[in-house]
Amino acid sequence: MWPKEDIPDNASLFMRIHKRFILAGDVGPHAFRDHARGMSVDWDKYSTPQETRNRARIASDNAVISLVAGAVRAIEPLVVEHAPIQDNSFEEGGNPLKPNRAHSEVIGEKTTEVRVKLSRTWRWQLRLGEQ
Amino acid sequence: MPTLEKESGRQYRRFGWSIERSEHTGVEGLGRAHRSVCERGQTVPKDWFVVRGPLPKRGEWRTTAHWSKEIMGDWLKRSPSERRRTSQTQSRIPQNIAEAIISSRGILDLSENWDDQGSSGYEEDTWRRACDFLVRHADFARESLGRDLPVPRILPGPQGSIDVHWKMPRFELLVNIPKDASKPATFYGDDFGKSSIRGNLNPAEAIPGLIVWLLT
Repeated sequence: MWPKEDIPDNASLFMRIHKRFILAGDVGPHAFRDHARGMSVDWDKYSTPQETRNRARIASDNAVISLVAGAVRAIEPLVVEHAPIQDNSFEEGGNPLKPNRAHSEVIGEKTTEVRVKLSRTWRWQLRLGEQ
Repeated sequence: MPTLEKESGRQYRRFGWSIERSEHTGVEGLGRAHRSVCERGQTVPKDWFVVRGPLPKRGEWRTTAHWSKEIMGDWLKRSPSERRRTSQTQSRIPQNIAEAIISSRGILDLSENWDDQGSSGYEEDTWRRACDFLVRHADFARESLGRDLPVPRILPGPQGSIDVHWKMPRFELLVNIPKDASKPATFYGDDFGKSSIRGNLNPAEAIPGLIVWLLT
């Protein structure tokens, strides 16, 4: 079982961006939203951008951006937590989840203000179609 | 008829019929976020944004649809080619705003889990309220100020909501129209510096302060 660790402020967090969120090469505030408990990201200590993209059902439909943990924490009321997905984990609907030691979550309400501010903090890691 | 109330020397907008003051306590569940503030320490005039008293009942909100029909005709029901042909001649909607609305209709094609991360699909009612909001403000800007509103992007927001997003060189403004028509829209905008606005608004009303902010 993977332990839950503290993510330092200088860590990078990789986040998949579905192609429908990309407009004219830009990722808008609508891309930053919660899924279940929070906004899912992968800690760069245990993942590469390619691995993050390959966790998607259709990898080619996704790009990958990065956020710096400290910059995310600077946006109230966001919290960054390591939340590794262990073996034999299931989502709420009962479907099995693939183990992912890098999995982390950005927790806190994604208000319009929070989403605008998050949309100013990211950098490209893998653009659509980029290897 | 809607009534106006004087409070602290300032007029506040109210919806609906005259009601007793004791009922006039704001929208339930909105909490402190229901107030609009400016980070420069000034309070934004409340009649810009704040709905005092209950939100309009569903039937009252339908006046929006009549209003938009008056402006847009029934062009939303027409084919894209018909809309293009008629939008300049029969409608007061600025062409670029009309194009933004038409191109955003694809949002309605997004079904459940469209992003492979569980995002929900979108209802036409939500999209129409977002379009009404935009048309109303574009029309107000043109009719009252003689100016054209900058063209926003209309985007699929979280939890079935619709985002109306202006990202300009000097400022950025995001207005979120919720799926639940009984809830207010929320907004946040800033000039990438010290000046910012945030709060809730009723998307069924033109907000002059917001328009002025967009145009200055």
